[in-house]
Amino acid sequence: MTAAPASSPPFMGRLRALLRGREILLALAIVILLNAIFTSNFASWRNVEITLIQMVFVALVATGITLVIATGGIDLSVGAVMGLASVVAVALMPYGIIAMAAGCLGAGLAVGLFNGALIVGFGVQPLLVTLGSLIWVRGLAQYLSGGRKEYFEDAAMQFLGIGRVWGLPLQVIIAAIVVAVVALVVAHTVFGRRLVMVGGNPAAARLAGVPAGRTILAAYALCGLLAGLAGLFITARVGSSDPTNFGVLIELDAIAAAVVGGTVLAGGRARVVGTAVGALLLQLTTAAMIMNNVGFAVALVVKAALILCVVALQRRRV
Amino acid sequence: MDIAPLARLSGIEKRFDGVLALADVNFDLRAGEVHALLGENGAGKSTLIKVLTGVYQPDAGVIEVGGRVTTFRNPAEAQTAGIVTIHQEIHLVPTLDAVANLHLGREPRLPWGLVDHRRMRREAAGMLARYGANVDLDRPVGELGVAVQQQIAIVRALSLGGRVLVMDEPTSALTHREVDHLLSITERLRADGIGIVYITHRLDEVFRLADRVTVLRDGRLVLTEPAAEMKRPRLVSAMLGRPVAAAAPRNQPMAGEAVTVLAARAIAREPRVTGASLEMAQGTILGLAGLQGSGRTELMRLLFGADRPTSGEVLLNGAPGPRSPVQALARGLAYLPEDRKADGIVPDLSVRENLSLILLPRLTRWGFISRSRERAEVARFMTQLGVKAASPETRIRDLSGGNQQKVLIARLLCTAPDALLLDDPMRGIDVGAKADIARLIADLAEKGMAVLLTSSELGEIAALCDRVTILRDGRTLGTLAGSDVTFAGLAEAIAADDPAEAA
Repeated sequence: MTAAPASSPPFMGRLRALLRGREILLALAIVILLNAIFTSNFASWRNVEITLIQMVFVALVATGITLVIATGGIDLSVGAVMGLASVVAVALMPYGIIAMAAGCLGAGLAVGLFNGALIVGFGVQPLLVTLGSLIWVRGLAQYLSGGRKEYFEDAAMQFLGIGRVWGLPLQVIIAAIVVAVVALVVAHTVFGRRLVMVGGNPAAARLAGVPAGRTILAAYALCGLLAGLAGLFITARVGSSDPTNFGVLIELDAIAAAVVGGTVLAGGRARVVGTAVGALLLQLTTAAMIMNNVGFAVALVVKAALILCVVALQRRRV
Repeated sequence: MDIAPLARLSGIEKRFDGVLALADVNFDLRAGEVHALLGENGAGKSTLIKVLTGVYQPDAGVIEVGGRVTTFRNPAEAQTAGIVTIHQEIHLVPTLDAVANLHLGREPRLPWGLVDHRRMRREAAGMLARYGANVDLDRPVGELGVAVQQQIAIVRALSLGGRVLVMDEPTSALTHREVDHLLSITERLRADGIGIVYITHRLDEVFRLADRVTVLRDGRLVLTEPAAEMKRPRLVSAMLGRPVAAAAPRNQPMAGEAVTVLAARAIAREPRVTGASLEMAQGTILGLAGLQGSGRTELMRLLFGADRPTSGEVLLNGAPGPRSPVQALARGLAYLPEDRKADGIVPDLSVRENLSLILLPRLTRWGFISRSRERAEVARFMTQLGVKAASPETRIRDLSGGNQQKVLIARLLCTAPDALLLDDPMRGIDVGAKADIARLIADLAEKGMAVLLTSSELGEIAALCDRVTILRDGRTLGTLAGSDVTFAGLAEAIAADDPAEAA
């Protein structure tokens, strides 16, 4: 490389300052650029839409998990909640879509409150509590449904699943609104500020009059609620319930999206928009691999490498 | 003739990021000696011990063991040289029994490679009995009491060839009877020629056990003397510092009866607070004087509602005391914790976010924080307290200790409290910030605030406080006022043998 050394340092310096804490944008730019060059039809509106539609579930779940991780916790039960929500939705089919939506959100909220109550009230480790919920919630979903998928035809649900508003997929619009609202809440409300305080230094937060227990409980409740919403969405899109397969392993993708987006697993930081960008990055990478006929198995390995690279980049400046 | 020491540290200097932690410290330990190492938090005790045990490498100075100059690159090398630490939190494997713990990593083998359990058990029983340790050999050590675990740790250290034992506040978690037992074990070790570095805050133990005493303060050696020739007040003075030539000491007599804001009547929470009474009045600064470990912090937490007393009562403006920090803050009582890092700052967040933490709920409109009002409040208090930071958005961890402390004080003051509990606010900060904070505290009292102040520098208390309550072993011994509030008077009161003398 023979770039002019006189002019490059200030430019690089400015670029670095601009990117500090936003390394993920750099990674995203690279992935988009590589795709634009190597993947045919990548830069089409159709393709953008498919990408966004595919990441709706992960984005919702990851948004909730970001709140929980900010408190220094974790929630592994989100995928199981999606399965349970689909069963609840189908059971409430006769009462209309409002009842179905309420049922899904209620089921998610209940599991979230259960997780939060055990963690706050009894001091059980979040990993253990939510691992337990991952198992029993999935079990409950299968018990209630007898393990069967139930197909249905319902105009309202179909609209919620694949309908469009203003030419855009409805689910994408709703997910974008949810991400925006949660980001706003985290940045501009007392609750949002307390969330990171509790994760950043629990002892200091308590002594400063932060109701730490209630704050943590609320984080798990919201996380459960969003998982319930994701469960409603996937049920609507597929047109059936699936107690066994909906949301399996989604918790890992969601955690990866949050971490890649700049939220620290140790707690004390919540990057909601970063999480959404992280989910997009992971989705694009996988999609690009598959579209270039690399194969799903290899795509997994590349995805993991990408996660590690972005996290390593972020670690260096701490 | 001097007896050749087991270990000698000479001219030790240690810096962390340029900050001097130890400056030209000399320390030596003879065979068959208990050498007490004293000093308040931050005096440099633990740094010195970590140099001795190979955790830190000194920036200057010499370590000699058995007369030979050595360097330790890590704790393992120090251990090979026979220097072992018995930590406050004991490093045993809690799920294994005493026999297994004593032989961990060097189990005796039978000819074909199996572990020789019978021999292990026999040897363990012998070692423990020799030092008068009563240990149930069949239970996992995690189920045994702290005292017993400590005995096992000591015996393990000796069986590893330990000649120098560092005991770091060994009695802080023990009951009275257990303390007696530990002291008798320590005496037996001394008789066997082991050298013991004994770190404690309890003067009684120093005078009962120690042959020599070394006091550190601010990383410097204050004195090393035979314990037998040491008087208590002198020892306390050495630890808590000389009277500062304070600018404008206060101590003006109060005009009439001041209104009591916060009162504690015989409150207790075992084991650290056993019976404390005090009264904070409007417009006055009450000092709480006692050594580290006397229960200062624990008492303040009780007053603030962070912990609940098991007996006695706290009255805040005549009503029962707060049951939680939330309540305390709502009722105008604010608390500055002693440990700035652990209990005060949220390190990764900005100065702004740290400062406005308590005030936040009062800055909202329709549930959303008003950024403009928050910025205005933060700017106002940063100016008022003279916080030096590149911007309010600087991460608080990047500020100096003194500036961090100012932000934390501002966090309390912006809620306009009536009473302040300040737990050693001037600890570990530079001289300029100390003076700023001292002036601020005096100002606040002038304006009618009730202040409770502790300090690891007795001189600061003497200079700032109107009245001073003396605290020892979790018990208040009485309150000094007026002309009795002097450095010498306080040192005398803290050191007094008999509680009655201090009253």
